[in-house]
Order: sequence, then structure tokens, then C-alpha cells
Amino acid sequence: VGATSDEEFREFVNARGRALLRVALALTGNHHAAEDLLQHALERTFARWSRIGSDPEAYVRTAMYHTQVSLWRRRRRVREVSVERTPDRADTRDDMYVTDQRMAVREALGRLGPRQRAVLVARFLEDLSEEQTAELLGCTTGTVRSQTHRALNRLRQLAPELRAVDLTREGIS
Amino acid sequence: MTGLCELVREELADQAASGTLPVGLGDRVVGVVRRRRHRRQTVGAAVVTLAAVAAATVLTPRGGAVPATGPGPNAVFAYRESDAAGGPVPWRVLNPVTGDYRALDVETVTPPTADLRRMAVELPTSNGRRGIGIYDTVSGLTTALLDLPGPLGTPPRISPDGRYVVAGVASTSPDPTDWFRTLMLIDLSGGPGELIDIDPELAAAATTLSFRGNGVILAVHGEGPIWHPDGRHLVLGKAILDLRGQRVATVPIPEHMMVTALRSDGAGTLALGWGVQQRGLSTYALVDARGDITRWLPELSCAVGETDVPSAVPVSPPPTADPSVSAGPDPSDAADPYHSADPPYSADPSDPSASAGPGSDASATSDPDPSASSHPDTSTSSDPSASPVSSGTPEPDYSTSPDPDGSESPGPRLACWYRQFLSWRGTDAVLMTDGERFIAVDTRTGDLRMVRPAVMPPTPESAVIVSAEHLSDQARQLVSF
Repeated sequence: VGATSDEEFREFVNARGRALLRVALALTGNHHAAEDLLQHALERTFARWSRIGSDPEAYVRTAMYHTQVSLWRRRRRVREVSVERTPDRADTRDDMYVTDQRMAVREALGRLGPRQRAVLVARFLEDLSEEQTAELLGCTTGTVRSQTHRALNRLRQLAPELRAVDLTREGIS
Repeated sequence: MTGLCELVREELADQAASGTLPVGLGDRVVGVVRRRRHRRQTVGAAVVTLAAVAAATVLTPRGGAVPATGPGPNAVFAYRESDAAGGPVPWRVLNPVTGDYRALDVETVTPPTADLRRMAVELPTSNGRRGIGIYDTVSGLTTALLDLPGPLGTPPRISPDGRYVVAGVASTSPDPTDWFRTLMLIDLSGGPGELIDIDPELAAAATTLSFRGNGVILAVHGEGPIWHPDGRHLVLGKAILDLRGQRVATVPIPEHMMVTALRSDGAGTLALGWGVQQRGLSTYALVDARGDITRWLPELSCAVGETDVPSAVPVSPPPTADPSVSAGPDPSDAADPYHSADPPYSADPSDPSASAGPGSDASATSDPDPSASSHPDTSTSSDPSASPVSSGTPEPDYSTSPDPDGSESPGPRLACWYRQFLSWRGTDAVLMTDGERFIAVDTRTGDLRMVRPAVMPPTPESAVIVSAEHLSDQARQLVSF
């Protein structure tokens, strides 16, 4: 890797880093973890820069997904604050209800396993098809479908108020 | 697309838009990689030397060695290797005779037959189609059974007696919550596969119950149909179905709880509750055969100490009675999971952990590194090698260490972000994982102890844990824990 490659790589990071960080933020849910994830993926990419073809962004993106669901990321001390739930629920017609829903979704997303969260990011943030998601994650489309289902079910388990979302969402949007 | 999907999309988009690219990230990466290469070149010889010293140290007998431990009640039947290299992730599956693990390149691994000799697998076939096969754990051979027209909705599962294989057939609906409505049932004694229609509501609420451990039913939420231990019924959520897809019985647990593991002796159920005030978002509870909660299991704190204690939790002999489920109406309506007579986490009111639920208002103590924290051994266990982290120790972690995002925690308890039930351990203990470690929980006392299999799966939550009962003596000595 020579000086030219160094410059090419820096230009690539400057040009596409923001978009890649966006994915990393969605995958991890917090800034420091996202920066760690992106930097790790970029290090892997730069180490193979001369052998990577014309689409380094795809390489970085794949590396981030794979890294996020692999062992070593999980070995970090990832913590979250468990908060007491309020017994009262807001009226489904209130703006407060919408805010509560978003907070519930955020909290529940933070408790999803990395694999399930990665599937949701690919499907719902990046709008990838089941086939594209399967290729990205190295699994079958059936697995993508089942993981998506499990992730949504898990969200409903973690945040019971979301179980009513499908019935009320149309009325509040 | 459902409203929940829209909410998830909006929330992920918000989170994705919330950061700014660190200044000089490209320069930093280039510097890190170059320094790493330089170090590799310069320390190579030193590494060789250190390796030689380490090898000599390991091979030299010393006093005070780790005490020998006998076979335990559990074994890791299958685990997935790390995909740190970014490549395919093969499974390693136990040979129950030799105790060796053999690589198996399949998408999913499911619980085997009760004798651990066979397992159903999903096979890739031509043109993106999928097939169902049977893997022989002793010979290592896979036999194709059926070629399917499309993807499976759920992994194929073989019945405990090896007579049937069942799998969900994936729905073609674009709605991701519409998962499967049809089961494929294959009678291995002969005959073609049979399609069974099931109630879509049952499929939507599907909770996998599987058969790991001592013949007990376990569950992983959100997966597909699994076998009742009798091999003639299927379980979906709380519903017990016959092989025609008709609901014939209900597992008795309170409303708002989900079955996690049904004891095969009928003495109770391990259930998962969520949204339970004062007990965190999701907490495991023991439910008796009538559907009443008898004990809440302690939260797994990140402060659980690393204690390499194989078989630390005493276990009872495997149950032999038929699994008991209640037939008839669902009794859950009569029980109130929020008003159990059992005190939180411990029957001892003086137990400091008893009031230390995730929502409790306890004051903070400093514990900057849970993985390195030490806990006083207050156990009364007769096992001198055990250093348990019991409910009587300062198990709750009110750490004020910074969160990953750098902010200070304001005071509520910090809990591990990931908990999952893995297996029963005899009849009075369960194995759980926080994503990194195996933690045995004594369901009678609430004590937590670390246990470590001889083969440590990189991702414990995806490992398949079985009872070591049907292993050969050789294999049991090698892999049970």
C-alpha cells in the first residue's frame, strides 16, 4: 500500500464516510460504538485496499454487518439502562402517544440481538430486498424472512405497547 | 407494510442521522494499519519465543492445578464458529460417540432426537430451492429427504423419537409479519410429505419450544413449530396441536407471559414476562403446574463474576414422567403475574438483591469494570472450588461507569443487554447466557454461578445445549459440563 493508495483511501473515506457512518449508527445505536465499528471496517478495508475491486463501499458495508453480528463486538461491555415502566399508557390519539411509541421503539431496538437488528437495518433503513439482505449477511432469504419476523416479534415482546401499533398507526399519522 | 415497520424505519433513520463523521478518520485508519504492520514485522521473533515459553509452562505439571471435575448434566451439541474473518460460518456438531465436533455447513442447527443420533437440516438445492435432510451425528452423513419449491419459513425439526420431521413453509406474502401458515410434515417411516394448514393467529404468536436438556421443552420466541416430547404433538406459543394442526391443549401460564421452558415432570414452567413493573422489561419467572408464579429469577447483572466452575450447580436426576400440560381452557386469565406472593428475586427479605430490580431506586456504587470485579464468596456450597455469585452477594450492578456513548448513567440499575435461556440443568437449575458466558441459575435459591463447557462456543446464544445423558462414556468425559 503506497502513498497513492493512502490518498485514494482518504478520498474514499471523505466521500463516503458519512453514508457509512449512517449505517454504523443504525447498526449499533450509539455514536462511540458506531465510530468503533466503522473504523474497524475501514481498517479491514484499507489492509486489503489493493485487492478490493471497484466497490470498496460495498466491502466496508459488508464488513460492518458481519463485524456487528460476530463475536468480538459482543465481547465489549455493552450496557443499557433498564428503566421502570409507567403503568399508565397515553391515549392513542395524543402526540405524547407518538413520542412514547418512538421511545419504546428506541429502547426495544437497543435490546435486540445484533443479528436481528442488522436484518432490520438492511430491510427497513437501507430498503434492501430479502435477496439483497441475504447476500449481504451471507444467509438465505428464508433466514432473512424469519429473522425479520422474529425481530418484530421481539420488539413487541420488549415493548408491549407496540402490539397495538398496527391497529392504531393509521389513525395517528 | 405494518405500522411497526414504519416506526422501526423512522427510528433507525433518526439514529442514522444523528452523528457526524470524525475528523481525520481516514488518516487515523491509515496510521493504525501501518503501525499494526510495523509491529507484526518487529515482534515476530518475540512471539515465537513467547510461544515456546508458554508451551513449556503448560506442559510442566504444577501443584494447585484445577481440580478434576466429573461429567456434568449438559453438553454443547452444536455451536457456530466465529465469523471474525468475514467468511462462511460453519457449525460444529457433536459426535455423541466420540465426543468430537464435526464441521457442518448448514444454515441452521436444530435440536436432535432424544438419543442425539439424528438431526433435521435445511439443505441448499439447485436454483435457489431448499430441501430437507437428515444428518446422522455419528457417521456424519446427510440424507436428502425432500426438495421444496421455495424457502422454508422455519428450520426443520425432527421429533424426539425420530419418527417425524416438521417445518414451516414460508408464506409468499410481502408482509414480514405474515410468516407461515402451512406446515410440512414428513413421516420418516414412509409416505410423502403432508401439508398441514394452521390457524394464522397461532403462527403469528409462534413460540418455539424445543427439547434440549433432560427431556424438557425449551422455547425461543418467534420461531416456528416444535415437537412435544411425545413426538405426536406440536407446540406453537402456548398452544398444543395435534398432527392435523388442531389445538388440543394449552400450557398453563399467566397472561402476558410467554412459555420459555416446560419442565417435563409437569412441576412447572419457566416463563418470560415483559413490561412487568419493578422487574424490568423482561424477566423470567417460574410458574407452577396451575399457572401461578412461584418465583422470579434474578436479573443477570453484568457484574456476575468470572468463575470457572464446571458443574457448579447441583442437579437433580433427569425427570422421567410424561410432560404435563393442561387440557381445556386457558387458565391464564385467572392468574395475575404482577401480584405474585413471592418476594422479588429471593425469599429472604433481608437479601439485598430482593429489592434491586431494574427499576429499583438503589444508590449507585462504582464498578468500572464488571468483568474484573470480584465478589465475596458467601456460598454455603459444599463445592470448595466454587466461587458463586449468589443472590446474597452484591449482585446488582449500579455502576456509574460511562455508557458506550460516553454519558454517565443517572442512577437506575445497569443490566446486561442480552439474556437468553439455554437449557434446563437437571430439574432445579437452568442455563442462561448474557451473550458471552454460561450462567447457571439455581431456581430454588436464585444463586447465579458461572459454568464453562470444555468447548466454549463463540456465540453461546446460538449454541444447542442438550442433556449429556445419552452420550457415550468417552464423549461425556470430554464434553459434558
